[in-house]
Amino acid sequence: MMLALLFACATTPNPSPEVPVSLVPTPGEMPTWAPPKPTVSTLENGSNLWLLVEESLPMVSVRWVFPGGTALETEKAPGAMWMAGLMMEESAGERDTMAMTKAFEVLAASVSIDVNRQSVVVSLDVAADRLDEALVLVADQLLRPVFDREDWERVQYQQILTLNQSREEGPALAKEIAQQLHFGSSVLGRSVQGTPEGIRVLSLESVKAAYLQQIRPGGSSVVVVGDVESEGLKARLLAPFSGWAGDIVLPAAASDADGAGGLFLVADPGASQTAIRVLGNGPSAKHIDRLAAQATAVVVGGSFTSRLNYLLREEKGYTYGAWASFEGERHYGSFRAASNVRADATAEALKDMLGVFSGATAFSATDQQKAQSQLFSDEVAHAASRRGLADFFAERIADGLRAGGWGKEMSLALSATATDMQVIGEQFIAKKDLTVVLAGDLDIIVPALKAAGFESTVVEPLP
Amino acid sequence: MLFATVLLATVSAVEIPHEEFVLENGLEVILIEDHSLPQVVVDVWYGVGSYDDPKGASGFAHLFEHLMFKGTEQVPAFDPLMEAHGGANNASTANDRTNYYSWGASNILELLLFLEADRMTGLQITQEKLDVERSVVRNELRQNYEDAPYGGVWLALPEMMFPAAHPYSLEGIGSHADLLNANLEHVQAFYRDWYAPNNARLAVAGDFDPTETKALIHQFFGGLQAAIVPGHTPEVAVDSVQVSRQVLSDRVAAPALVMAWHSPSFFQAGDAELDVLANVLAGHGAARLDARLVHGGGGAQETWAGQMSSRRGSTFLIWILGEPEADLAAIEAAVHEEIAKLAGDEPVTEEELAIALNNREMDFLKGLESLMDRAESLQSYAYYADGEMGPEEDMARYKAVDSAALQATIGQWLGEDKNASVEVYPEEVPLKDEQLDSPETAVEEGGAE
Repeated sequence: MMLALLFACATTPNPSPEVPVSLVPTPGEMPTWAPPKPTVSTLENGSNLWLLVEESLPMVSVRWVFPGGTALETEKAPGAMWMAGLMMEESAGERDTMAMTKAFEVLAASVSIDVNRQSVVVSLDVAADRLDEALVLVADQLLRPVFDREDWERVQYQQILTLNQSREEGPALAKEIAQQLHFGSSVLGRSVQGTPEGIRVLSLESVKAAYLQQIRPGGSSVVVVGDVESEGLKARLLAPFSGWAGDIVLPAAASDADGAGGLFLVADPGASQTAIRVLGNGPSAKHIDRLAAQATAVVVGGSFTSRLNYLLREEKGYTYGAWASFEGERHYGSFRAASNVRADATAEALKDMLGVFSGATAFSATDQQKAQSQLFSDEVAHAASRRGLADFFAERIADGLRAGGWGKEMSLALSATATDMQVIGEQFIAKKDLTVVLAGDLDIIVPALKAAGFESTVVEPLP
Repeated sequence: MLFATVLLATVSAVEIPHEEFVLENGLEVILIEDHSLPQVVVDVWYGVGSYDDPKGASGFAHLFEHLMFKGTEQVPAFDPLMEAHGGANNASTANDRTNYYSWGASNILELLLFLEADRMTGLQITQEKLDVERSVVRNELRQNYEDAPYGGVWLALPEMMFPAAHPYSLEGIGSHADLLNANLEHVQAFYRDWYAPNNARLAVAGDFDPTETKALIHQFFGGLQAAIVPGHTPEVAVDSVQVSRQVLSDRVAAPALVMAWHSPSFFQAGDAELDVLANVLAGHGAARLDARLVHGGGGAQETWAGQMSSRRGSTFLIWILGEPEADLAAIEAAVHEEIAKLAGDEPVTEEELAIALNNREMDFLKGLESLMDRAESLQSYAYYADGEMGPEEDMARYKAVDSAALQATIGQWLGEDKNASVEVYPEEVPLKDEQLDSPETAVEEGGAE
């Protein structure tokens, strides 16, 4: 203690002030690192358990992963699963919404329910010594949501307002329309959150039906990361959930995109920037190409000095930022790119953006090294917190990936060559059938696009 | 008592183990050693922020932050070199400080330190670099303020809160006109005045050998010359708002109300109390404003409150997103009523205090996981509390908050006549006559010159 105090604020002599700062250091070899492997077992109710004990801080992160998500919805009730997730955060068990919220807050427990296109994930982060109390509350949410009509009327109304707000925003509009145009009427083309019109006519009964289809133990998984004793954990996880049974029945996977691509415009009058959103196909999370695609994305649009951001932002000054990435889920994948550009530079920015994509057929050894080192850093970052690890494992489960496969996949991604990236670029990025949607002030951007030789179709904001 | 908890008693101590030293040129250094993962963070704070924007050049400190990535004689391309080896970085400009942080695998620590030292005194900015970055920042202004829903609020509030001559009177992003005024002379003077080792603090966190790292720090930073750092514009206490109300229209689907009060500076008496108050009013779905305005049919969709701490006076904010037909005047009256109740016959309960404290403790625990959070926490204590505070003293501030302290703070700062309000309405809704009369100019007694 005394030594530490002496160090604190002590002025230390500079041992080599004469050393000039003249040589840029060259980093040595990347460190070696093996990703943690969770142990996997099965609970008596049919749910799989992924467990990683990490005792250095008294916290636990738990994720319940239910495959399905909006894929379980019928076309007649879009948004039903999203609304089911919201309703599970309301009255449950013996508590009304306010009492439920307060009970979690007293424990300082964070809980959330995320509905995605192919899964529903329930998250709990809590101090280790409060885990059992928090599990009782989560069990109420999962097993005994009340679906109270008064709650429903408030939640339904607020969701309609939220969706109406997103229609006022160019970037949200462009993203939604691109999804719809590229994937058509399948579940992939539908908004996860539903539409204001759809939510308005949704019945509480159809929302409850979506919940009953989804929240079942058979086929689900539980991830636990943190300060827990592995002995006795299964009993702790099961006790509050006694009597819970049934299997999740998954529908056939939706087909890939049916859109033919093209350039579409949607009006956002008065916007000082144009929101550009690009959507194409990509490898699914389970496809081997996903690993090389990760490396390719780093170079094309996944870093500050990516080709896309560097050109549009740092060289041309058209935007505050531009990015591109591959997003892989269990059954499908996509290539996405986005930027909000100065309205009067829309045509030039779009031309440059498409130029980057068409040039994604040539990669160098320098690109390869950059991708490799960036990916290593990103992979390590997943393990930087219990919450990060729990989220990452939950994502792997939703994507249908194995618990022990992380290390091998990481090593394959890190070994992606320039040639591998070229193959990915040719297959998914340098394509003429990308769906490109621009939301902006049409009075400004239409004449400029025409003058630049772009053919486009104006679409209505949203049906 | 059921609600009283001692979460942090289960941690060995409320501390962030670290080591500090100072180089002869005045550079303060913090080392946080942690070998749990092969990664490192380098975090540099400079004692300059938007408060120090040159006159007539609002947004300059932030624009300059962007320029710090534009290269030196030795390293013309800062980001490409860093990212080629897997490093990444970012920066932010606050009212009173600017931070630059980078991270990556542990093998690039030497490079990260070299790059920070190199740009501390070796920056080379040309007119072309300035022009491009000015354009980037103006795009940031468009994206995050002008085109963002309710974004105009954040441009309007500083002018409502502070006299025109006060450095806090303009949002740190600046205005298009002032950004266009920025020139190379501004750049050179600002760099010369503020960017020097004796106006900076370096934090290194992660998987490193402390002996080797100290040697590298001495090697790269030790030879940099200290500078004569000018004094900041003298601080002037402001306790009344300049404009009490503004009405804006925006491309939004529902109206919103933002209420702002002057409040105590970071780590000063009342600062922790207002953090607690923010939690009691709007920190969660069962908080008082949520209970009344969202769940109790008060016309709101959501509420938020926060103490926005700065070094030279802070702002306490309440944000209410209304339903489309909401009566913002009634909501505003309800907010004042709820605050008055806390100051009067419905003081904060033990349960409410326990919720606020428990969540504060959990946030601290979560912060211990992150190298960046630990570095930023120690930087914050050193800068805003002048080294007089650490995690334990910080947590003690929150444990000491009780009903009497909260009531005294409310009485001192959150009077009904002391706030500025911004009302935002959807563009389609024509403003009422009385709304068009705004802004109302409040009495400016006690304001800065």
